[in-house]
Amino acid sequence: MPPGFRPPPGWGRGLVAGGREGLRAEDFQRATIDGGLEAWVWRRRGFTNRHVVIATPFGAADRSFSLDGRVVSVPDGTAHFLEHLVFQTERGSALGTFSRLGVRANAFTSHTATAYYFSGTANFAAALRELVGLVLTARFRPETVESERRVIAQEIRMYEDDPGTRVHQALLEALYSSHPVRRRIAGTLESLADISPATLETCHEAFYHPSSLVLVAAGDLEPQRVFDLLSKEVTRLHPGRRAPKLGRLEPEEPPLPARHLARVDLPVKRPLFLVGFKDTPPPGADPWLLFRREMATNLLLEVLLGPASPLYDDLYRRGLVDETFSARYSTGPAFGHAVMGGATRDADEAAARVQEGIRRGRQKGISAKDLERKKRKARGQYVELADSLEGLATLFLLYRLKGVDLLGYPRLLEEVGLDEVDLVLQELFVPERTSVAVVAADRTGGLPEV
Amino acid sequence: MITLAQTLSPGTVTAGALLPRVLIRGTRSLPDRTRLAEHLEDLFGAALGATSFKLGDHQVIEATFSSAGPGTLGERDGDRLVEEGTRLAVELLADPARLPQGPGLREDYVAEEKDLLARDIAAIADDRLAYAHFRCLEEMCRGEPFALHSLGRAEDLPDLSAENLDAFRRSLLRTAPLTAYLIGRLDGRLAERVAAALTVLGGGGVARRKLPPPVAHPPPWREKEVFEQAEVTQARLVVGLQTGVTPVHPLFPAAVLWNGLLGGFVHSRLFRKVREERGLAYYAWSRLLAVKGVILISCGIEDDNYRLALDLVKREVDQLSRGSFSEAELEATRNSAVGVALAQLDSPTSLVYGHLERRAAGLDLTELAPWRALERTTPEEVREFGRRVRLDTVYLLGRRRPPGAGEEATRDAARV
Repeated sequence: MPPGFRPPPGWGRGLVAGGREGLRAEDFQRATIDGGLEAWVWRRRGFTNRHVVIATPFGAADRSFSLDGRVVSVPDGTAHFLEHLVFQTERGSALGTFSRLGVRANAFTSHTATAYYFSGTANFAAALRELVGLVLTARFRPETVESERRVIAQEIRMYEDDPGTRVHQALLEALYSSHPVRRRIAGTLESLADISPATLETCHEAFYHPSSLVLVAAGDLEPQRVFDLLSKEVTRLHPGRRAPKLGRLEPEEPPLPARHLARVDLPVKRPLFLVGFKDTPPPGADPWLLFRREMATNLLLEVLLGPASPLYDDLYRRGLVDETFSARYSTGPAFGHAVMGGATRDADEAAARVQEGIRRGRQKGISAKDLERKKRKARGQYVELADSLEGLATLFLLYRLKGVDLLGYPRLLEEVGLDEVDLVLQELFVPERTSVAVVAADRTGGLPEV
Repeated sequence: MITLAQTLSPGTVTAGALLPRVLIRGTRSLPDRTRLAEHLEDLFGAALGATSFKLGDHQVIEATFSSAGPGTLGERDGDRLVEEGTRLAVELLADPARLPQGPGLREDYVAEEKDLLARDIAAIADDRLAYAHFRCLEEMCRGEPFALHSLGRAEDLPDLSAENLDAFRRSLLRTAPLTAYLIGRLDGRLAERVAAALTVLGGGGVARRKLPPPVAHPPPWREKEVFEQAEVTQARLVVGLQTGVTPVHPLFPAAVLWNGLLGGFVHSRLFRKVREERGLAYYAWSRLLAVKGVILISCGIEDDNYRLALDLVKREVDQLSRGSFSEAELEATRNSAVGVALAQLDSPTSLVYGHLERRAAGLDLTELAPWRALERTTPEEVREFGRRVRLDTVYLLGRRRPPGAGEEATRDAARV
């Protein structure tokens, strides 16, 4: 294991009650439903709305996997295509069914998960049954597949015109040479054409078994009633089919970026830039360590580039960044990266000054006082999560899919120490781990630099 | 949240857009961004923001403070966060950072924010969707204040200075209608202390200040079709409908339901016909711009499908205008619309903006349950509203002019 992924001495794990905090562990109840579905109810009293989200750890980065001993490889955009089809039934789109029940349903696909959800104040039981039914029993009729393929083609075209999506995509393609996190979530028009109904069916069989799924219901709900409802519905729809044997194939990925610079030519008036630092979490790393690494790196990014940092102020006053600037760390199976940037007047100068500022930050190190301040901020923002039913339910679920509990956050936050944060600064924020991505109007018409 | 409103006008819109950007740079007690940000970190990552936006023919300038609720962090004095937040929001508007030698706002802040605003104005077309919506409304509402962009006009920037921007700020505080919102788990005593802290703003007579309500967009002389060329992968079709019905009109709840039938939800006509049945678009919806009495239809398509998509849109508008919808369709729409209205109760931001919108339109402010009117609305009222809907402007942002598309817009080369 590389340094930074070793558990620090005396460090434990597990769920910690939040005590007087706004997010209380005792408001979360868990049950395992037949077939292995992991269900949670977050009882949030005083809210009118109810929100349910169910997800599978199957995302755009799952390009190959083993299913009952055979290796399956799928075209880019398969998880996302499947997401579109889960809402399709013999009677047309089920989105309309939710709408008629007075609830709003939707779905999203990330690199590591696909999630389906609804929000509403009425018809909770009917909507829950509908959602579970759709996820467990998708159908792939060729004419529906073709019609949805046309819709997704328009979705891909929409992203093509979006500078923010393009710069992020370019950065991932520069950071990674083969890890599928570099793949586009919706795929490309070419890969979209290669996705067949049979492929979709195989993926559904593999990743939509109850034992792969996690569900979170949030709102002023009686937990046992939700679990009973779920149990009845899952047993009815899914009588005792055995769980498939799934294996993840860890991609080979070198520790350093594929390229240090990627340029996208788009007719924009205001360029965008991103600076990325590539991390190397070992395959199969303990998810709690990844969670901790994420937290330590985000605290560090607050110190280096947060709104109170001298570096941010300097960049802002030079007109090199504006309110769109952000800096975050993301991690998943065998990938991790810190990404910072936004809109700018001069992408090259902005990227150079961010890197130079980080270099100076690394020489200087960070102070205990700085870290305490960022922890205080993080603690308040964690409590504020409880104000958004949908936001917290989704975040909680995504961390469950990674194998950790969001409710462990306050305890980890207290434990993360200066040495640990400094270690991230010294080993991750080095020039050889950097890539820069730029979206700008290229008036010269030259080829992209590599 | 503290809001100040002014009537949108070419003379002040740019100052209204620039002012909050300068004010958020620093206050008298926390005179720069770094100190302000550090102070907010000490307040457990609370947020202080200032911005401006367009609400019909009004421009609203707001200062907002938000934090974890009292007591949730095990603080001894939970109210302290709220009181400090109020103090900050008030200071932000009433007592900005200054330099010892200058009479106005800080010149360096004003210059830097002018540069940033100029770039934002120049880049409005970078967000293709937002730009297409703005352009359709601009074409539709030519000559009305609403046609102005919320960021203002680049040509006004050279004349804005630290001194005249400060004068603008003082005049707003003296004359603009001011509304303050305090939302959260709060007791009466705290609310009184917050109200007392707000009296610094505005002074006497603040309760009587009023702006003329936004004017509904008038019926079109004729249908207008506008094409604008841009290097886009996806063409953006936007259609503006004129209805004349604003929140003060008795048919307003019917307007909400009619828009729901057309494109407010995923069971609505536009989503079903344009996306589900024909696969022409990924998104296809309509939105009610309540205070202007306008409905905006939006979908992203291929250039070649322009005529096809437009015909589909027109056919659905026409059918619904003639009152052709089923009872089941209306009930589904009513369920959804009531659900949306109820869900707003959990969201402070939705509550505030809903209230601001009704207030701007000149409505009675005591109605806190807008879904009740939706429950009572009859099919006949929805049909009556449908008869008032007029197709006004069709706008396409595309790579090449499709056959039969309208006149090319007078292109401002700086935009796309």
